[in-house]
Amino acid sequence: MFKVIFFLCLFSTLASGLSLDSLYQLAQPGEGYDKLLVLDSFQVYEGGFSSDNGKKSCIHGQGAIIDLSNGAIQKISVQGIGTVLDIDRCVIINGSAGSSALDYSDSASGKLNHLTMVDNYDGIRFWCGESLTLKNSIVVNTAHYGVMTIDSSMSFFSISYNDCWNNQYGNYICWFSSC
Amino acid sequence: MPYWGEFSPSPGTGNISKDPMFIDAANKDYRLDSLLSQCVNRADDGYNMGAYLGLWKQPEEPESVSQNLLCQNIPNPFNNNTRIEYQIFSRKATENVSLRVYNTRGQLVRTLVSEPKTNGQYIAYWNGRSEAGIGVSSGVYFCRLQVGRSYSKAIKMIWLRPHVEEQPGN
Repeated sequence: MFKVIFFLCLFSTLASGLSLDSLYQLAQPGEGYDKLLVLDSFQVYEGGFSSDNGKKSCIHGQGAIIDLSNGAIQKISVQGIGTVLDIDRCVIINGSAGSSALDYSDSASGKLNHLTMVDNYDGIRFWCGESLTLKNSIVVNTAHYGVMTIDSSMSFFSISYNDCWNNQYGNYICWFSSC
Repeated sequence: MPYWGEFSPSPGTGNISKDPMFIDAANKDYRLDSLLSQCVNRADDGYNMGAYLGLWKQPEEPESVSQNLLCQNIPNPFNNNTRIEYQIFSRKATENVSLRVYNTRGQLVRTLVSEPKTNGQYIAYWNGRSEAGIGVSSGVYFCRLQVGRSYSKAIKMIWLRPHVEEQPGN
């Protein structure tokens, strides 16, 4: 019995992917960012993380897959004045029900380039952020909205050269409101 | 008065709404079918939309090949293998080249390369093991490229030791 449990533990350890949150916590400065992560092509990384308040971070995905469903934090949250998260060349899948895979709020900002986002609840939510640029990306098969902005018209967002398709409640939605 | 509204028809230029035609989404292969996908070559930089740029566009040549270079290792942080690319340029036919890994105390951990090399681009790998083949502890390590006596550059690498259960009795 002990051997069975041991091999199950060993198998689950070896079979599990890398935790994106643990990599984010260990990331070092680079390219002008406070934290720079360079991921490995086709490697699956598990879970999301909450970006450090006021920090500038960047993820170069290089085709890596971020599977949000298996982590303690099941979205990537960017929040607060001066908080920046730029991401390129990542596949982001399986965000949890009721939240967005990429969530920018409270004056956060970011540049999203060459992302593939599949099977999330909301794809990207930009809630009273400072600026957001989304381009060259694919946002498909969400259970709710593809790209969702809640905005006071004081912030800047640019959305171009994207394929937004088959998102159940709408590909793009905007709610103008005071923040 | 807050209101909801769909962007009409879309919020910016160049947006489309088509099935991207992934090769095999059920098995997490989100590359595009190059014949059927409408996302091929539709990005503003001429590549495919999405995370996989496509192979049709030739990689750009380095801006200058007339210098020594040590690139940041990929991936970083890493827990398996990491790839270290470097370039040698010398006016001599060959130049003594060394690529060594040090810990934060400046102790040599592993010599990856130590031999004369001709001009060109090279790749080395490090698997987080010391010269004796022992897995090193997690942490920051430095990789230093030395070309002849005149060029030296170091990069910072972060090694995460894989967590593997020890076999009972070992």
